[in-house]
Amino acid sequence: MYPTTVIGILFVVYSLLVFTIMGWFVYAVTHKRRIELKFKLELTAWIIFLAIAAVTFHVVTYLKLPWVKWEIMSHAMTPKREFKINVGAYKFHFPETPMKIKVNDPVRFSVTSEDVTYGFGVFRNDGTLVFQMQVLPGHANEILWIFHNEGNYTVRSTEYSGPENWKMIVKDAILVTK
Amino acid sequence: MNLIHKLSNLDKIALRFVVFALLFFGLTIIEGSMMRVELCNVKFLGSEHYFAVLNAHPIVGIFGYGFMLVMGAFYYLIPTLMNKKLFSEKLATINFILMISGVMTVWLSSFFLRYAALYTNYWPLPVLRSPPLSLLVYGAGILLIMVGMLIFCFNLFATIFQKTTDHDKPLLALIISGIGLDGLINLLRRMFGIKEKHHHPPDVPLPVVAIFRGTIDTLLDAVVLGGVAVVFIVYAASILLGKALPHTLIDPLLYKNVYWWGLDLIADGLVLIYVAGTWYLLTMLITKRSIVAENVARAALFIELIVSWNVWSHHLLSDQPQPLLLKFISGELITALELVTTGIAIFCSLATLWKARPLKMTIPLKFMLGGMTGFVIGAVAGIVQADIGVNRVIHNTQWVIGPHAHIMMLLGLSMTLFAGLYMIFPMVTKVELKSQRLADLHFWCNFIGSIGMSMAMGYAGLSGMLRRTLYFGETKYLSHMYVAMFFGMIIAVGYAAMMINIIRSVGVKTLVSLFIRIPTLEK
Repeated sequence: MYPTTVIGILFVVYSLLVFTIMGWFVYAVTHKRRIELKFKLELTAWIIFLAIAAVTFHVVTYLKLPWVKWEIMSHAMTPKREFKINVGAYKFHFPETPMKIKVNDPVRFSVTSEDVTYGFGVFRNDGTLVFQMQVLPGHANEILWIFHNEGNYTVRSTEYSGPENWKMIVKDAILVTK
Repeated sequence: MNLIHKLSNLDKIALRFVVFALLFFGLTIIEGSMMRVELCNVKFLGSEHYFAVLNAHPIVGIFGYGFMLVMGAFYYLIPTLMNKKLFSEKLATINFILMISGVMTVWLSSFFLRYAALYTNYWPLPVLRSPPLSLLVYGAGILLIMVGMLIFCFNLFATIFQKTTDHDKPLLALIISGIGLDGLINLLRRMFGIKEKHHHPPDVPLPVVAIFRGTIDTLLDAVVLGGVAVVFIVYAASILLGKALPHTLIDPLLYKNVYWWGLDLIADGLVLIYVAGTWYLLTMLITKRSIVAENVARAALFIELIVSWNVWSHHLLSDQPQPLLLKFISGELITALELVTTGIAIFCSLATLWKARPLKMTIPLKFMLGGMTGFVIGAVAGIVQADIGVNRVIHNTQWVIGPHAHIMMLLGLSMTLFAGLYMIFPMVTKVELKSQRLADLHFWCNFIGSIGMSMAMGYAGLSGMLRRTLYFGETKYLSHMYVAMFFGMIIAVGYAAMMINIIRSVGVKTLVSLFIRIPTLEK
């Protein structure tokens, strides 16, 4: 299951919970008979709960999404392959097409821009996003990634760079094999 | 006697802002609908025109609708709550003219001159890819808006701090109370067991603290965006004069940091803090009670001063050259604190309503609770994307603009502003709204429409659909876009219901006579 699918499911559950609580609140504050809570909700407890919830969320994603560690440890990791990609005038220039990668091999994408800010996004065949980063002109834009699944991947600009940006799609730009 | 003769100058100023804000909201809906059609793969605008509309949409929505509605409300509320006269009615009128002309100039630069660097304006896109005339006109439009906003800030501060009688509080006391610092001091006093010699009510009422605090962020935002507009004008002029300045004078990463620092203050200044202030005010008016844990609420507004100035990096989580420390501290941790400050505002408002139960479900209360529901959903969607790991797979997707931005704007902000509008409307116009049913229809259409449209966008985003792009020839996300289109139409029905209700209640003649002298009304 993709992380985005998990986010989608959790968000539906969360939203339904919010509607239920607000619905109940509306019922309780407008009911002629004074409804009492069986517990006391303290503001301090609420503040502590929110702070813990926010921090816990980041800790969970750190533990569950491996690319956070890859980003933190990228300087200490040695990639098996490095692809230097240049972008300019609404075109990607790859060192090879497709860029061949082995499953579970760490690879580094170094992307530079000749003119404006672009995005470098890698998509599965079903359209879901594997990862993306911004490509700023005049800066080194590097990302270390490990592909766990075989297949062809599409590269697309994920940052608006002008009215031509939507055409910046290269199908089968990456081939991941065993 | 016609209604117009019963209105004071202050009422008229407030109403002028409100009328134009609602018209701009209508324009935003039209623009949104045009883009929805395009995203359903119907070639209606064409790609170049589509992005020009996308360029104008947030400017009209945020500054034409959101800010102008807020300005109208606050020009009325601050003098009323502080029991003072508005510092300058003339400045308010200049502010009004600047806002309208600025928004319309930006709209023209997009619609006719095809300026399409979008509101993000990432350097050097505006100067490299825009026709210089369109850049010049866009820059001039943004500058007009920002000057208007600076005048608004000055007029508001001058009203709060002006000394009208000898009994007025000294300036320092008003500033301390105005930023909510007195709340924090009171909490610390209590914590350390220090007793006050004389207990006295706060120098500045809680809703005014929120308005004052939000206006500090608005001022800084106007300085940054106004500065960027000046840069655009200078570059456009240099190109038009044949002596183009090199775009390499400005570093794209530094620019992005400064730009987002300023732009993000809108999210906090306008959306978060102003909305909290409106909740407090409405809650106090509905319950006739002071806010539960008022010192905490005041202290939270003060702490938000530190939070809102340090969260901008969550917009740069996918920028690899951005220092990792900034991503963690500003992008993740301080941003997460917004959950706490928003949570405090919601808790204090709901607890006050709870203590005052049983309450009658009035239209303002209904809209306010709808706004809070939107905030609880939209704020969490924002925290989800402000995470280094999650951002890698949802940045710039429809998720960002759906469950976060549009839920916050259409539900969190708009429902709260509409609550204020329905509450203050009879106070300003001295007439009751004609139809409760139309107000109800507005509520349900806006509530269901906003959630449905934003969720459809969000789930398209989780499936990989990007924002600020087109998918001609692709069918992957069409079903999501059809659903979004359907719910978008429901929002439009709600808007129509509200407008019909307001026009029927006040009358077209009165509304027109706010701007033009009608001879038949003079008699």
